Amino acid sequence: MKRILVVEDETNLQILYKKELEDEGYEVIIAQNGMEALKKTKKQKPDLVVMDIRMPEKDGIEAMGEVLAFDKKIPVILNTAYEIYKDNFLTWPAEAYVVKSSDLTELKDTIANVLNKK
Amino acid sequence: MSKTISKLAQKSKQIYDILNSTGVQVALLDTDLKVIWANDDYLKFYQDNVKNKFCFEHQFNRKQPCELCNVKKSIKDRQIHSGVLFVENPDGIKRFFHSISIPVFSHGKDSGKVLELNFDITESKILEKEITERAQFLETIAQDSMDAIICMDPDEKITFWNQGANRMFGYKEDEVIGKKFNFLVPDDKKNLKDLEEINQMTNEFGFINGFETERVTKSGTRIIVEVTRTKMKDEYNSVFGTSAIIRNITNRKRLEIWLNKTISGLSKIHEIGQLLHIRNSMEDILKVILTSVTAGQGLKFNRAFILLVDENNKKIKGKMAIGPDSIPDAAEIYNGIKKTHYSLEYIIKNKIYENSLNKEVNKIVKKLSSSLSRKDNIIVRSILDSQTYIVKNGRSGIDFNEKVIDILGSENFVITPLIWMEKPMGVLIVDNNITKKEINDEDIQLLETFANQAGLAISNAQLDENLQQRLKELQITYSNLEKSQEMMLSMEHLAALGEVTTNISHEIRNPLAAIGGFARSLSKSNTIRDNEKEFAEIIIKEVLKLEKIMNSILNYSKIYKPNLEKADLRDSISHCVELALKGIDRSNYDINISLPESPVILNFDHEQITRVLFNLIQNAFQAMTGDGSFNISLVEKKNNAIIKISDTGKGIEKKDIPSLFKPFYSTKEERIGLGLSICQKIITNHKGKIEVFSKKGEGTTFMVTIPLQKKD
Repeated sequence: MKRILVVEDETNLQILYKKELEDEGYEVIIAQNGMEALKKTKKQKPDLVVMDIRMPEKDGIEAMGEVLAFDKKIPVILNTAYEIYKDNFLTWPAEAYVVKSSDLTELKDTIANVLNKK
Repeated sequence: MSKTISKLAQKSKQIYDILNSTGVQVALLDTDLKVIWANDDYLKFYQDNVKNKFCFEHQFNRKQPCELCNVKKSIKDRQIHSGVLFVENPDGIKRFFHSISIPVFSHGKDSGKVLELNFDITESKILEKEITERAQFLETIAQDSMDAIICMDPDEKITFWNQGANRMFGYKEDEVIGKKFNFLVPDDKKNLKDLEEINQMTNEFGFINGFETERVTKSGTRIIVEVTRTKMKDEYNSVFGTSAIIRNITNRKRLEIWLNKTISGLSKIHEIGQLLHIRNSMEDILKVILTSVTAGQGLKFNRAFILLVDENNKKIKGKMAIGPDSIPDAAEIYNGIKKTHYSLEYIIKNKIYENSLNKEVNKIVKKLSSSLSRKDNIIVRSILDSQTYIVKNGRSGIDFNEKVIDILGSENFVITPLIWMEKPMGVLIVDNNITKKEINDEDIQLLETFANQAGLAISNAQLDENLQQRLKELQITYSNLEKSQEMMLSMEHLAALGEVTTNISHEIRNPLAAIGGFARSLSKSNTIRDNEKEFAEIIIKEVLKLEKIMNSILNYSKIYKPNLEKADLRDSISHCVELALKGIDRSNYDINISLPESPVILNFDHEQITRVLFNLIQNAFQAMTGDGSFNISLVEKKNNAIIKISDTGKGIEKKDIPSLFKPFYSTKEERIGLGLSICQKIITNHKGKIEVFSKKGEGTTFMVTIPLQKKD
């Protein structure tokens, strides 16, 4: 069973992602913010990280940098409400960039694709 | 006897006394002209005992008797004779004598002797001489007078004709004496009151003074004269004729006429000057100048040309001209104006000369333009020397390039500089190419005076023009500023909008994602009831709608630079129309698509333009609600591609038109109003514009203009 770390500061979205992704057959762990993301990555070694960008304390781009510095093989999918970060080259190391939507189809497809490639 | 003797002696003594008391010199002479006896007066005058001496010796200091001696005659023929003697005595006293010689008869017997009586007439002789001299003096005055002096008898026949008259009229004295004087009167004056008046006044007052009339000379020239006529009366107060003193005042009269003309010329210039100063556009000023110089009520030249100095380019440039091209043309203009006597002001105010501004002369004036460095150009010289140049028969005071004669088609013209404050503003060139009237000094003087006025007016107009130009520039700058300010506000508005929308939309996106996500989750659930599933799906749909709105707002705030590619705009239009008509029942509409036959190639972003056209076409059909006429056309015009999209729909309220392109403005309740503002943004990015023409209830036309790149 593939283990996915979802980094998301919105509680409701945490619940939604956890439920939906678990329905898809993944093991889902949640990190509240960027700080926690690195800790949980180190500790639980997820197969994939779904990372929000705008978060308090440490944003997702910085957290992604730390995750990749720890293990550059972990694929990171940036999952954000903002399209603007697509133009920011700091986001380029991400495996994929998904704009948040109520329809989770795109996110689920992307996760499946990335994990299959691995 | 002695008594008789004594009586005789007494008588003789008496006679002697008488002879001595008369003051007359008396002498008795014998046949040899010897003095036998002489009275005291005689003796006293000659201071000598002249007895038995020849009279010619002491009287004339001669050795022979005088030839014309009256005494000698009397001796000879025994008759009384007389003569005039002029003698000088030993003291040098000179006297005139009237001498009478009488033969002496004694008791009826001729004694052969002669008595000489000499009456002293010296005084009367002197008087006579004086009178003669005086007469001569008067005659000389009369003869030599510069005025003509003529005397006439009561029949008006000439009795005196002086040198002055000779000089004035050209007739010599012998040609006119005895003739009636009226050959001096011009034919057209003979029957007029003129002569009557002179006669009447002369009769009534005895003279007429300074009467002005005309006379004619031998050569036929008419002269203006001033006549003073006086009745001549003799000592008994009876009229024996009239004298006339005639003075030639032709030159004075000419001067008077010239002065009058000059004064009227100056007042004309004053009039023109006032006209000049109430106008201030350069074109009007030039028209007034040209009209004034050529109109019959102005300076009367046939043609006039104005050239002005262009300081920036060091040139003199032909600006404007007035004048007929040909004689028939001149006649037409002249007749048109002559019919009514217009004032100069009327002519200028009503632009009567205006039509002649389009003529050949305006081509000529352009050809006269020259660089100010051409010193062989007489026009340039007039400017540089600040001097009027008169060209007569192709020649002038200076050497010059004769090309100007060819261009003007005239060998006689005048160039005068238009100067103000010692600065030459340009030149005025005039000629009389139609009437061929010679341009005289007076004309030139008036022209120069006028040129000063014109120089002032032009300088004013230039100042005014500069001011107007500045004002215009200021206005443009101001309106640009206003526009920029508007644009800045609009951009600020948009920027703020972008920022706000991005922020809000993102903030909204998260909860929307949660709401929608859970709704989907719910709807998939096995445990959900049918009606609950339906509600969940409503939530999903509404969330999708909201997300769509979020996306279009986000799209607006990031319309990318157009991705320009060379393509045929006709293809984009066809494609777009097809796309837009997909969901429309064509049978309800009258649809016209008009595209040019040849390709309209330009650089544009196909996707963006399609979006614009699609939007506009959709709007058109939405406005028509069911049926109507739809037109879309493309034309190439002045380096622009112009697309017109019209409908016969409900139209747009006039008050709504200005706000049509503002973001978030919509007349349609259900829309968020970004469509047209996005369209405008796209077209603006293509350096084009969208305009809208609409009438409530009749329909709307959108006109999209996109510049074509220069074909290279």
